[in-house]
Amino acid sequence: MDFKFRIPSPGELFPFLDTSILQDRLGWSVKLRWMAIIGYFLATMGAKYLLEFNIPYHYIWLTLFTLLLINCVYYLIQKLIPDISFFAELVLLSIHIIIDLIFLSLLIHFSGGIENPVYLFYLFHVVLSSIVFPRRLPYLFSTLVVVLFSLLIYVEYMGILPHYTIYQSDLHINKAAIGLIITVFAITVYVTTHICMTFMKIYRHSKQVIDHQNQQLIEASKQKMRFFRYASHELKSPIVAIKSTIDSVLASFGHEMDPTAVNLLRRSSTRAEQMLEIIKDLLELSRSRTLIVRAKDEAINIRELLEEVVAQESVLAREKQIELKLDIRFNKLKAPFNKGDLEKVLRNLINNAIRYTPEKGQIEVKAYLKKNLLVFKIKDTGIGIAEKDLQKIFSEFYRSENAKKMVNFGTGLGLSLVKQLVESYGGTVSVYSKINKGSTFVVRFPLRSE
Amino acid sequence: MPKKILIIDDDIDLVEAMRLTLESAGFEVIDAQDGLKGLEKAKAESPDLIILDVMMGTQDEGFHVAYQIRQDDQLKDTPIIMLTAVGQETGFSFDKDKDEDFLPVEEFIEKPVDPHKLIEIVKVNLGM
Repeated sequence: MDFKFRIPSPGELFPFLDTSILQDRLGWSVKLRWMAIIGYFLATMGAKYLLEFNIPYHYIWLTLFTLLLINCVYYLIQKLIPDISFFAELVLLSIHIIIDLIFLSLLIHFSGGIENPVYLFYLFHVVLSSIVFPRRLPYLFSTLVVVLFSLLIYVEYMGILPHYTIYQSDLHINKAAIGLIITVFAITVYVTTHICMTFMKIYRHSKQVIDHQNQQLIEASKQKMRFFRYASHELKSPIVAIKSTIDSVLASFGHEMDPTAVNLLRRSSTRAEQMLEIIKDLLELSRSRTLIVRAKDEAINIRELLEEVVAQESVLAREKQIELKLDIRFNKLKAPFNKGDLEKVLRNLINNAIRYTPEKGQIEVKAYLKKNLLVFKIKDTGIGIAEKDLQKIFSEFYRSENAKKMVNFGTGLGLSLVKQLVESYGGTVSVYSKINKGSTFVVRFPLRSE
Repeated sequence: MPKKILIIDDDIDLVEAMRLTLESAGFEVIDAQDGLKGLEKAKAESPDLIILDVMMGTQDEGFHVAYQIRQDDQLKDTPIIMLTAVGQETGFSFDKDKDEDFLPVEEFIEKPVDPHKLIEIVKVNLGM
C-alpha cells in the first residue's frame, strides 16, 4: 500500500520517520536497486562493445547477479513480513545500505578502481542515510564509505588485490593522485553529510514548531466551539420557555380571549419560533468539526480493527443464526484514524445490521479501496428502510416505524453519531435500501496520500 | 379520578406552561426541579406518566433518571416521555458497557412542544 502518514512524532528523535515511511523507503530502495543493477549491466555492455575497456566483465556480472538475488530476498521479506517493528525496519534499512556499500566497492574494484569515477555513486547512500537516520548515525555511514573506498585503493596499491586498469595510467600506484582523490572524496562525503543533516535538523525543528502551533490552534478552536455551544444553549432555554408559555396560554384560554389579543400572541409565538430556527442553525454550525484538524489520529491497522469488531458482534449474530461474512480486499493497510471513532462507526453499523435483520438472515461486511477512498460496505437482508425514512434516519432521535416494531429500545442516536464521525473525517455515509429486502450502508473515507 | 402526570424539568416556566396545558385537558400535574427530587416524588406519588427533561444540571441527567425509574419495581411500567432540546448536542459517550444505545423510554419529543401535540402524546401513552 502506498499511503503514507505521519504519526505525530514519538519524540524528537525521529520526527521524519514512522514505520510506514520507512517501509516505503525499503520498497523504494528495492525498486531503485533493480534499476541500478540493470543500468550497471547495460553500462558494462557499452564499456565492453563500444569503448572496448579491458576489465573483468564476468566478475562484474557475477557481482550484479548476486546483488540481484539479494534484492529478490529483500523483496520477499518485504512482501511476506509486512508488519515489522519500527526498529526492525531501521535495522533492515541499515543492512541494505551496508550490503550496498560492500557491493558497490566490489563493482568499483572490478570496474577500474581509482580510475573509474563510479565511486561518486557512494554519495547516493551518503545522502539517503543522512535523511533517514537519526542523531549522528549518518556520520557512521559516511565514515564507512570513506573507509571502504580508502581500503579498496590501499589493497590495490599494495597489490593485495589486482588492479584492473582502464586507461593503463597506473593511477593506482600514483601516491599524489591517490592522496588527492581520497582527500577530495572524503571532504565531499562529510560536507554532503553535514549539509543534509543540517537541512534535516532545520526541517525537524520547523515541523515541531508547526505541530506545536497546530496543537494550540486546535485548542483555541475547541475553546471557541465550547463557548459557542454554551452561549447557544443559554439563548435557547428562555426562548423555549417563552414559546411554550404563549402556546399554552393560547391553547387553554385562546377561545375566551379577544381575537386581536390571540392574533398578537400568535405573532409572538411565530417570532420565537424564528429565533429558535436561528439558534438551531448556529448549533449546527458549531457542531461541524470538519474544519478542525484532527489531533489524535494514529495509524490504525484497518484489517485488525475490523476483524476485532466483527468478532465481537458475531456473538449476537450467532444467537440469531445470522450468517456474518467478512470480506477485506487489502492486506496491510494502515490509515490515520482515531481508533475509537472508527470503531464506533463500524460497530454501530454492524450492530444495527444484526439487530434489524430477522433470524437466519445474512450480513456481508466488505472493506476495499477505490482510488483514494477507503470504503466499508455493510449489507444486510433485514427489514429495510422505507423511502420516506431514508433521509431522516441520520437525524438525531429518529427511528423509523418498522425499526420501532422490530426492536423496542433504541434512541435513534446511533446513525446520527455515525454520520457526524464519518463527516468529521471528510467522509460520507450513504444508504441504499428496499423495504423487507435489506439495507446497504456505504461509508467512504478519503485517504490522505502524500 | 384524573390521571396524574409528573413533570421533571429544571425550567420552572416551562413546567408552568405544560401544567397549564395538561390541567386544562383534565390531568393532575405534579412537578420536580431535578432528577433526585423527581425520583422521590415519583415513588411517593406513583404518577401515571412521567415527562422528563433530558438535560437538567448535566447533559444526560434525564437518561440516568430514566434508568433508575426502569429499575424500580414500583415504577418500572410507568410510561416516560423524554423532552429534548432543539438541535441538542447529545454529550453521549457511546460506551458499550453502559449500553446507552438502548434507552428505556416510550417517546422522545423536541422542545418546545406544541400544546395539542403534548396532550395527544400523553393520551396515547396513557392508552386513552
